[in-house]
Amino acid sequence: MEQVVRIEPLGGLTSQKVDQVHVCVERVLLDAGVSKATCYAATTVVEELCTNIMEHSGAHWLEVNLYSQAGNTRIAIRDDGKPFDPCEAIRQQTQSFDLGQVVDRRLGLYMVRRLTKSFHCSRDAQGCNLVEFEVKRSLEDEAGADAASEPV
Amino acid sequence: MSDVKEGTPPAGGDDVADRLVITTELDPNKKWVLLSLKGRLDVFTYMGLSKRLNEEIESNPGLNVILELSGVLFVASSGWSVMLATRTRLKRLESRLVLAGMNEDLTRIHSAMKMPGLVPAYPTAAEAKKALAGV
Repeated sequence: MEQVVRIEPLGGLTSQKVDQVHVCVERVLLDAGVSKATCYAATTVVEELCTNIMEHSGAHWLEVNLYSQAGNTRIAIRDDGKPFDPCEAIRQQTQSFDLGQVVDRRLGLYMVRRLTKSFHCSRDAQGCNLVEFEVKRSLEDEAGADAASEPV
Repeated sequence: MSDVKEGTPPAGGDDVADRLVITTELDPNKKWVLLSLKGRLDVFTYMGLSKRLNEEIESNPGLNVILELSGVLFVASSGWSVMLATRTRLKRLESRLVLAGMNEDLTRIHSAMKMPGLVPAYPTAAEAKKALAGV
């Protein structure tokens, strides 16, 4: 399965656009036979990253590319906003993050890190932000997979 | 009990008033206050929940807080952040925050984020009340 969800125009952060992304991604993944647990984790991560794009990047559009094969769910998110490298932000946060000390909204990238693997960030040939990742399969094996698959 | 619709409309007139409804129940024995949430706990509603929690903590100092989430289908990182911040605040007051009634999906995310050691969860509000009654 390979499908693209494109949201345009964005016009900043609105509940309608966030819901649109969430519902579209959920529908595509469930229709493709992705497990409910993986679908939930995927929509959680996509909503997190797309919310950040809408709120901070000034992007005019974003695209969510969804690939699912043999139970693996891979997602790529592109936007035409100002350059932002979540991988670097995650890398910096990983060095000094204490979950027990969180008092603001800095939890988003931590959550993304916990639910994904093979997380990559780049600027593509058109100068767009590109974030690619794989959703950890059904999170039941989360504890066992944790040490072996820390992203970035 | 009281019902309040919580939402923080961002600039542009985005109407989010119906996105999260909070109902409060106070323990007659003053051991806990329970907030039942219904809707979505996300970037548009977390400020409303934070405000409401702060009001409850100020009105009922020393009480434990139960967040009942059986009516919540989605929690974004901003929602989990409010829980962690509330847990920190309550800990200073020697009180506790516990969750109750999370569905299977939320339970997985809660676990994957390593939150059970910080904000414990009970299958039902009744079990959370029972646990806190003995504190």
